[in-house]
Amino acid sequence: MDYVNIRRQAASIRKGLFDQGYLDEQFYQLEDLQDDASPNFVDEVVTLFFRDSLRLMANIDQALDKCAKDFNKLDVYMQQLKGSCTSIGASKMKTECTAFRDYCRDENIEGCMRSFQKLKREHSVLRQKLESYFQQLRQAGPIECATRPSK
Amino acid sequence: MDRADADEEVQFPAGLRVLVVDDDVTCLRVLQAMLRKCRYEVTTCSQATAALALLRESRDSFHLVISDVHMPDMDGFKLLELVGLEMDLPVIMMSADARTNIVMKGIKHGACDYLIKPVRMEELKNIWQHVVRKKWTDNNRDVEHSGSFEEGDRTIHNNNTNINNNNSNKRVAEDAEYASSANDGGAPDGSGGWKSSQKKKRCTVKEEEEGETESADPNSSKKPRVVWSVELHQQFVNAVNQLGIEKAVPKRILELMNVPGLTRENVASHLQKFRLYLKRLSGVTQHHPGLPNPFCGPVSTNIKGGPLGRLDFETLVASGHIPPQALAAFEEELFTQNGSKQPVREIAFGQPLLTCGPPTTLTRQFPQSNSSNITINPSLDMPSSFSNWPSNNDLAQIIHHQQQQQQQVVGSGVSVPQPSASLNVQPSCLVIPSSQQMNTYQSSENTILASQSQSQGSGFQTGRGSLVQSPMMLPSQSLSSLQRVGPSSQSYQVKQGPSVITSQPSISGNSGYTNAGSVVDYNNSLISTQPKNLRFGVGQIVDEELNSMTAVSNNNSFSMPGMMSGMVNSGFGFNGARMSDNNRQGRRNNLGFVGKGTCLPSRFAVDEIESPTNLPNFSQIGAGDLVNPENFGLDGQI
Repeated sequence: MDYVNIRRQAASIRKGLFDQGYLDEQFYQLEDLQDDASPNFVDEVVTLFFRDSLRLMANIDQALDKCAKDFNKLDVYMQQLKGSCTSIGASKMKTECTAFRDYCRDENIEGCMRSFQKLKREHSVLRQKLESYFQQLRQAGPIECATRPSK
Repeated sequence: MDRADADEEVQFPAGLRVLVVDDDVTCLRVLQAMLRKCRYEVTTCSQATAALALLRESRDSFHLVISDVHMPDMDGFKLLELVGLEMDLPVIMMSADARTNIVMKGIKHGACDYLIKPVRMEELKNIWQHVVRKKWTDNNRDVEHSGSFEEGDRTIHNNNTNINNNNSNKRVAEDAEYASSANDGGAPDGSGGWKSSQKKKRCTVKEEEEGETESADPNSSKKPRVVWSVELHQQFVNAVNQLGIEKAVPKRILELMNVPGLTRENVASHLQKFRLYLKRLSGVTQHHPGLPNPFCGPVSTNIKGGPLGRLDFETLVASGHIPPQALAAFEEELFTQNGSKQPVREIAFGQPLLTCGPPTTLTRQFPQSNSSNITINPSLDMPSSFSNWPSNNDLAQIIHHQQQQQQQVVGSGVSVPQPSASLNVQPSCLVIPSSQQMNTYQSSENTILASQSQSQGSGFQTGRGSLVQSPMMLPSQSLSSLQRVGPSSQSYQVKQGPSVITSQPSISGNSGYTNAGSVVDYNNSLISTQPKNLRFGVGQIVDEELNSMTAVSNNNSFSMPGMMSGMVNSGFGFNGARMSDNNRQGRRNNLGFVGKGTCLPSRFAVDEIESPTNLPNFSQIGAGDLVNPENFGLDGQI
């Protein structure tokens, strides 16, 4: 296996995620927390995030279906999701969460729905990219974990 | 030694015990990693109710709480207040919500800091300052308070005006014990840094406190601490009832009570706590309608309804400390305002009363589990007659039985923190070899103590005060593990407690209860104005006759570690107070029942015994220490 190339690819994915605004500073913090004691920390947290966010988004979906006028509830769910996004540094998703909450505040249901669709897309894109990133990392071997490049 | 000091410095603030509460598992995981990197000991909890139960169970287990603002099962601010009132721990709020008004709300509710998510490592590295600051401030306050009435007045005034301000509530003027306990904290575990620094403070404060408690002369320069015994509290309550809660002012109450040596400040402080307690009751009630307590089978949820409802009172009544009529009247008054909601609601002290033995009556004692509390009433089906202390085996069985019950009960809908809540809680049960009397309020005066003395063989520690050490205490090991339960059940009724304590046959065991009784009532409402264990601020007067463990000893009588604290703390905590020699043991728990907190899980007591590290060991506490229950670990633990 060409570890060098794999690692390069991983690094490239990672860089792209930052450059394109999918990830922000917080992700660096996660990477910093990874060490010998928890060598897969970032991967674990990200996995946890995607699992939990799916659940939250399902709740929102359901809420939009059943009680579309309950903006408070929608806001609460979205707040939870936003909190999660900030915890891993999912920047674009976080922005979309904020937009959704703004629509909630304005009681604009169409806006909410549009925003939510966008959020789901962002979620999906981010997940795909991160999954491929971690996959590369795993293939590349433990040597080069998600080390932060010199900032 | 220099070396030791150096080590301490290096370690400090490592070992800080932090409880993180957040429904967001991702955030929880990240915070956990960050805090671990700071070398803190982290416990995470994804449910506020579970966290509260855990805290109640063992107040001294944590130095600091970090909580999210928006949580599904309980508002973060409410948790903040409760923790402040009951346990007097510093609480840091955090949220992705950076709106100024929300942050302001956090401050108003008493948060010592407010972090905006995403939380960075640098911010977490500094959280220890809140713990230290709080302790020092409390110590100073106590010191000041003891020195002058003016200070106390000011504090009381502050408290009165900032009801929701946890910090000021916590600083009850007379809460010197709290201060001392706050200082404690250095159990000889690995975190040398914390411990020694804590110990130093504690020693200083303790000296002052002891000096104060020794002196019973209210006019002496050092203000003696008033111990709000059951009787005294009953008088207080009667006076308040007579005046009407709205119109009850300290001066008039003092006049009505007509207790020599009692000062207006004492009453004012106590009144404040009491008001908070009531407020809690009503506030909590609305917020979390009390769930019928599955555990308390026969117990009616309504306090008035049964003796069970209010354990404390029951016990108190049973023990003769409170005339039944007074009790009824009191409860009537107390809960009328709240629509007779079970005050327990809040309290759900963690420790389910794991009554060893006969305890059927125990069930009664368990307060209703509040929705906010995960209470597990382990001992629903305890054997009814407890003639003698069960052997350890029996106890183990009982505990196991109770645990099973708990499990069942838990399943019955009470929100119990599940393991998934990242909280590993075991049913907390107070295993108290207490005589059945303890559990049932009907029991004769002897209640716990008496039984305990009988069961001397069981390993009760009859020594003075050394509750903790009593082997009876269930093999403390097991006890502690029992207590570990998260959703502590309402056992705050621990009354069963005394088991441990003092071998003194003096009934004081009852007192333990009685106090508990009274405490319980108050406790329910989390009034615990004193976050510390009961520190009722009122001071505890070492009461010679305490041997009989009259109510005061609540704490003492319960050797059950949890009990004491839980019990006493839970309510008003005024019961803690009397520390007689006999009650030494109890002291920990309950001085003052100041609502602190409810439930000091018996586990706590056990823990103390068990692990000197986390709490000032009882064993380490000398006779003089008894005076200040706070000294027992609970408080100082940090």
